[in-house]
Amino acid sequence: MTFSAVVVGSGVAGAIVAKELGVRGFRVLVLEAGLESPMDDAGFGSHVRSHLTAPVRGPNSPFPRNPNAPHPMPSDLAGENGYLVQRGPMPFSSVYTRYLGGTTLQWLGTSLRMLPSDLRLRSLYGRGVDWPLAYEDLAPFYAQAEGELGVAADAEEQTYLGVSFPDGYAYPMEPVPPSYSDALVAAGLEGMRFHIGGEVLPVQVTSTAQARNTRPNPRRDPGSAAPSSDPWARERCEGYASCVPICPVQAKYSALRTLRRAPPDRVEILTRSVASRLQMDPGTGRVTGVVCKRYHSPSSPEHTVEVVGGTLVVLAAGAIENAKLLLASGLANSSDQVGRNLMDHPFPMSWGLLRERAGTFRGPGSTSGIETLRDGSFRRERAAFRVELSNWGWELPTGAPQSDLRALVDGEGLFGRELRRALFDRVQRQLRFGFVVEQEPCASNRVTLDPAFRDALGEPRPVIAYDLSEYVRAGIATARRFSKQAFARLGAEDCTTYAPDDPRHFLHEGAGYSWCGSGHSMGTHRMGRSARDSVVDADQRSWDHPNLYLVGAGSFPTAGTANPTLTLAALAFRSVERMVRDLAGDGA
Amino acid sequence: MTASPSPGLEGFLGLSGALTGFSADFLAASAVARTFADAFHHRTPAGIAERMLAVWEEIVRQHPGGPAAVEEAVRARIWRDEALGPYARSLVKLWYLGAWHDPGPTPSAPPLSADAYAEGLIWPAIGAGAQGARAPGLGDWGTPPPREPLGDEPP
Repeated sequence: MTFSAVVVGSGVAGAIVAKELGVRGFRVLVLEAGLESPMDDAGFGSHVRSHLTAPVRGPNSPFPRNPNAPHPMPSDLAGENGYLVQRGPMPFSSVYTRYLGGTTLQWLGTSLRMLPSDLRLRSLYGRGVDWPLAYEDLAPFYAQAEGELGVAADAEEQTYLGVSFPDGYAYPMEPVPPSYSDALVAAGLEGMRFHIGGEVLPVQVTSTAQARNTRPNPRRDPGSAAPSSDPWARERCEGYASCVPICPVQAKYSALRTLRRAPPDRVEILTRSVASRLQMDPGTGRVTGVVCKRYHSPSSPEHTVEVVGGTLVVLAAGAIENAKLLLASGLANSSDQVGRNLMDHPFPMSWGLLRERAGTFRGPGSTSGIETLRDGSFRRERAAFRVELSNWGWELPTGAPQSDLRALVDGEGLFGRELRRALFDRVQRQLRFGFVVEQEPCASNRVTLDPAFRDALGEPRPVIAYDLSEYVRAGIATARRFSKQAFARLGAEDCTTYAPDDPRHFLHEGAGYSWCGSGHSMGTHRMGRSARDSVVDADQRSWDHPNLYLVGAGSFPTAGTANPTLTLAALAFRSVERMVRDLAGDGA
Repeated sequence: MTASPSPGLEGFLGLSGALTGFSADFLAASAVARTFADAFHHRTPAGIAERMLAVWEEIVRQHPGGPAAVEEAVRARIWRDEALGPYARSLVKLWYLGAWHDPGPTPSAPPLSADAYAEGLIWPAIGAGAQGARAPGLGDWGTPPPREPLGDEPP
């Protein structure tokens, strides 16, 4: 059996490619290394229960460990004991998910467009590189991606810093209602200006575009894109306050929705199928086969080896796994850029206590942000950032509210009414800002392989060297300065502390800072205008192998400050156009 | 199954109310009250649960209708008691977090079940639904928060 395309990975990029090619009549095989993720109530409910009964709830707690397709865990921060082999000097701190549906199973759902300036960082500010694409090239595919993901937002409100929409553009879903604390922060910061270098930037709170079902937007032409799933079929956001890692009613988009829309007679999905190597014909440079290890049970490494072939081979396994597979195969790397320029959005946080109740732990994790600090000439010297306003108090930095209970009982010795009232007061007033900080590409931040480190199936584990450049550190320090000013304006007591023994802790101009990962692995097979210094072209096609596509955030030349999913989904739609041209006459 | 609490559960609920700050009636309505009572008996060393309940019954007899006096007595005779105090803290965490924590600096323990997690008192105490298990409906998060914890205090 040969296929028009073999797609490795079933996250949002792979799902879009598979579904779109299937809809256009091509036969597609999807290889997913991980286990199935059932969408039915019973099957999905088992993920929910795994999460609710986990000793420590985190992004991968609904998805039990699978030694045959391991994924990083938040605790894998140092050394060689986790899935990622951390070579430092700082730990790469983001996770991803190897299950059917990929990391969209546990993402937050933020669906922002990148700014036009994000794609021209070199031309405008002399940093990083330019993309081989302009915003205008991406805009129609952003619209397709917003349709596929069912994004909830208001186009007028999302029109800022050069982001533009065609007249009358309507998102598929009405905006997610802002939280009570969003309104408190917006009112408190009204009129605030923030100085960076010589620039004075306005501070404005905006409702965040997010792939979360609300009500279908009545202003949208129903024929304009793929239908959003039925919001009344228990898939509408009801405020479970658990988007990361799992929405019990699947109100948040996951790639499972796109896979469900794929025509089953043309798109075949194989789970428990780990792509191990790519085979290439040295004469033509074409990738001729994917060597695949198929296992039955996650508890045994027993497997069979099969080789599958397709006219096109599409790697869509995420930035780190794509790089791993290319390095293991010794392919697509004439530029020596495969695995390099690994980026994340370092995510420092500031947290404080308001004077008043904020209504914490209600609704989606974040419903609003501050987007006005994402661009400016300050980007010559320091990273830009967007501000994410948390609806869940200090959950991420301190483990609230459970950690508050422990502190009040064990630390302060409270019980009874006093405990109950103190807990209410302490948690209700929690305020937390998170900063999605732009990371510039650095060749030395990279994924490599070392034969000494393998998983249960004998596949290489990613070895990662990672650091934050001075540019990023200066951006993190600026974000911290912003939060101090904003907290003062809001009358909030700053409670932020950064543990000096955290491997991510660093000093900048005498002050200490720390940060987390955002889960945004990017850059390891960057796109560009030339085979000399990039891995793929603007269509995400390998310069070295004409039938090999590498899709996903690994193609991003720079990171900008938008959470990457919407952009990588748009790029996938764009690449499909080129794939269809490549496949002309391939039996559709 | 348990239309009215057995005498043993009644004492357990009274003690739990004094320690958690929620009324015994509120606790009796919890789907996992009996599960928690069983865990309290099984996870504590022999004699501890019985002794704590006996002290509680004595406190109730000695201080009829005086909540402040009851609270002080619980503090002195249970919460600060060398043998009982650590397990009283475990009982508070059981009710709030749905998980049994042995005394001492133990790591975070898994909830006894998904129901135990969802019924944890931490959620009404902070004025919110259990994350991932209870939802108030689209847009509820935009309304003003409650003025005080949900659920009644002990009388």
